[in-house]
Amino acid sequence: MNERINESLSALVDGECDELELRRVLNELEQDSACREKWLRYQMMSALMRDEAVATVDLSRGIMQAIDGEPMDEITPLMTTVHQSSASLDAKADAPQRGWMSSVAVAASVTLAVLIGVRFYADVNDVPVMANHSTAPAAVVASTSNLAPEVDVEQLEHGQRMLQEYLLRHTEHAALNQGRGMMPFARVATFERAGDAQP
Amino acid sequence: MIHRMAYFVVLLFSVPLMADDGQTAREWLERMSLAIKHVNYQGTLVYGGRTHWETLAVHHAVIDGVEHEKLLHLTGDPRAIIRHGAKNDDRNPSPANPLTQGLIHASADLSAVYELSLGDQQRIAGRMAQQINIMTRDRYRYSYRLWLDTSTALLLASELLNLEGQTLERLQFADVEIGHDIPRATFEPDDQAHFTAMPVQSLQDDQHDSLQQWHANWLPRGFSVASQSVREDEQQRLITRMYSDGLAAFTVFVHFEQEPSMPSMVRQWGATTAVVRYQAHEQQQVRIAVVGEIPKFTAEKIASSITRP
Repeated sequence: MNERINESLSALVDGECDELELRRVLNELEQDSACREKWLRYQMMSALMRDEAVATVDLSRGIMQAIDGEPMDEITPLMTTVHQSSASLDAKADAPQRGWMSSVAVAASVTLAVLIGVRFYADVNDVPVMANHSTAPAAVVASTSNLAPEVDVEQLEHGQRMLQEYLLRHTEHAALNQGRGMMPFARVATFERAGDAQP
Repeated sequence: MIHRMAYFVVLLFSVPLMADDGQTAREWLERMSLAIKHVNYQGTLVYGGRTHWETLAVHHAVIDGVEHEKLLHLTGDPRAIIRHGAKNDDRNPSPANPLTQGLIHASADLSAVYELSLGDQQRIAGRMAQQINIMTRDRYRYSYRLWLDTSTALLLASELLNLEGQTLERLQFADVEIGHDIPRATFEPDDQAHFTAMPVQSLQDDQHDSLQQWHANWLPRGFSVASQSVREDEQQRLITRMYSDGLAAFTVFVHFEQEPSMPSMVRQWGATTAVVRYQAHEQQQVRIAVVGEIPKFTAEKIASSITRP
């Protein structure tokens, strides 16, 4: 496994990988079992670092299907035993009762998933679940994450605007408190650029 | 033998110097937080992360004791951010005046959570700059390298480093003029889109109550509330509270919306992380958002620790 794939893998886990890079990693994962093991280890490590319950959930298939515009396999979240807090876009929202998401929504949610690095995708049958060492906070999130609203295009757009407002407010406060003048406002530009990637 | 003697002499003198290193670095930082408010400067600021760069024109002046700032984007859509401050009065810093808050925080006990040291002097934007290293002592925050103008202590460049020592964000003046008069008209809005930053308002007592109801049960060491506000209308209520350790900052939002319509998410771009979560409260979904320049797991841990007692 080459150095570049290694870097891409950690970028993926950190949620800092673009679509091209993502495709490359996923192809590599399919062909290379050492690489695949590493990917699972990275996911575990990143969950451990966040002090959370660990699940070695293989996300690669769902992501690949999504970026290829295919309908995704039905997703069965293991809400009772598994908690993956980076499962930001509660993927159960794309579950069959809503029908498959429109390709735009898939693209949007995958862009988010790429930014986040992880999409909640679990296949009960071949997921080895490690003992749940998590303490209260993780459990709280696991139980409340059921409440997260379902995701559609309008919500993603609203979410994007909301996030921008939060960022601007945070920056307004930060610019007054960090002894660095207005420099924190430079960050807002980067966010807008990152936001352009989404439809 | 003479060489060896010389070596010993150097050692003798360098030991106390090393011990003072952190203290000297702190003094530089205090000078920096004063300079950024009191010194007139304008220049071109380059800002970038790992993937791309932006350029901005920055103007800062104190005119008749009032601070004015303007940040103009030179890349992308033309837009500007303008800020007019209150009168500077640092002899009597008060938390009610947000413009003096930076000073209070700059003198917070940074050395408890960061290891401060002096680096080399380098040339930046055509001026000599002193490098200050600010390395985190734990895994809950990022590290920084700052370059301050040797004559005015103005911040000329900064780097934000993640836990692996990779640079997530760079800010650097490409050129800068320090100490010149800048006409008042510079800070008027042009035709282009602009955003005027408002001074953070102080709180009324009843608002303070509703703030106290929601708080983080876990914070990384050294962080304390730097500013807070409540905004309320018929559709929503938004509680905003910013925490700072003197350098790093994050903001916690507790948002009651009639129709919550935003997915829960974790996002990172450049140095910034955003975590959005929901909590049930009196048959309502309350959105908890944490946005700031902190690592992802710190933001997630804070977000999941926010409760209403």
